[in-house]
Amino acid sequence: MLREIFHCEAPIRRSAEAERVPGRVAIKAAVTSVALSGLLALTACQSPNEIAMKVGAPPDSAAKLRAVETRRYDTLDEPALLTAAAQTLQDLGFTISESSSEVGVLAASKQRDAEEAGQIAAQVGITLVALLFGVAYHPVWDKDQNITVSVVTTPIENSGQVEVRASFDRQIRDSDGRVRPELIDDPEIYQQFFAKLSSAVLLEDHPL
Amino acid sequence: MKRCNSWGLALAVAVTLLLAACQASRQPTPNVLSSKPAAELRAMQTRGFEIADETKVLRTVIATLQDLGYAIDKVEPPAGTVTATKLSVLSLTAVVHPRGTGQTVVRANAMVRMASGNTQVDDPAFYQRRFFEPLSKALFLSALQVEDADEDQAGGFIMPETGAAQSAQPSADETPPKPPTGYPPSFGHGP
Repeated sequence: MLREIFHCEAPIRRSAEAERVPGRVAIKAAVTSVALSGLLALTACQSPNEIAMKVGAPPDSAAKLRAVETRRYDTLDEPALLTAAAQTLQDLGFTISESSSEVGVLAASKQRDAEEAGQIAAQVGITLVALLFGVAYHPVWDKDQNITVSVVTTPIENSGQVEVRASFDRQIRDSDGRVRPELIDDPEIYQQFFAKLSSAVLLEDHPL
Repeated sequence: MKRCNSWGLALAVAVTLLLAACQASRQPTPNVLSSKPAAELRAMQTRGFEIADETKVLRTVIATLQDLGYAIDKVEPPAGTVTATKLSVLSLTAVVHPRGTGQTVVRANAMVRMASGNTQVDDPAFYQRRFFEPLSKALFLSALQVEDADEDQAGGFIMPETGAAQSAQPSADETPPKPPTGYPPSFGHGP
């Protein structure tokens, strides 16, 4: 259920749906807020060890995520791939925050607007409905987001290939200043990144 | 004149207090460290691997962290350190260093971001199940407990086969080896 909620908050889907059925989105948004506040409440009364155990668990669909995040290239030139990845990320507006060619690591981040007309409209809708019933409702919507990406390259032994794995995640800040982190598992985002990387190194990428 | 001075003094004190208040709120909350004994913490945070290639271990640590959903923050290959954060809540620093010949030691330290400040994770199960088990699977090697008493001596690993630190004991009896107390019995997992 949580996955579904998170998924429907992807910018494109939310706004498209909002135009069609604003009422449904409003209900979904309400469910989201309740679920999120419930999560926050749960986190509050847990010990650090319990939180570490829970947060540190591998992602639900680790194998699927790995396949989405990973491509292989027919090259032995690992530094060249890393340089191309850095350029690709810069093209996409990221700032490189860490790089180490010795172990094939690249980390970058960027700030982006997270406001969506659909979500704000839904929140205003809920506020108006709440007002009709004489209930006070404080509208909350996503304001901006910080997207981080880790790119790791690994030479595959005895295959003449280098594996590139890119993981995107983001921290969304809402209009109340609360931060909600999430892993990005939308295959489209990864396809776009690897398509740009492939054209930068003039090589074809192979899925796992 | 004197009255004016005392008013000035009061104002100065008030302003200083105000400033001090601002200062205090800006100071970062201190880290909350575990109250467990250092030796116990070191034992739960440290594992040895029968491999000499330090860079390979560091690369595998990075790959394991990425597989677990961490975002890499900092890497320093000459020092063998890597710091990664998962979902802005859990941050883990791993240090990889060689020990003796043909062995590499990995030490991990995890912190959880809490309202009361970053708090150190001191649950042996977390380090074992959420870090060393996936790491040893990725390395295709068993994670060996590192004997605490002779940290500097080479070959101080507790082999999973014998299980006990007292390797001098005859292993003729068929009783299954008992892991050191306080650690999950499932240590030494390999493929």
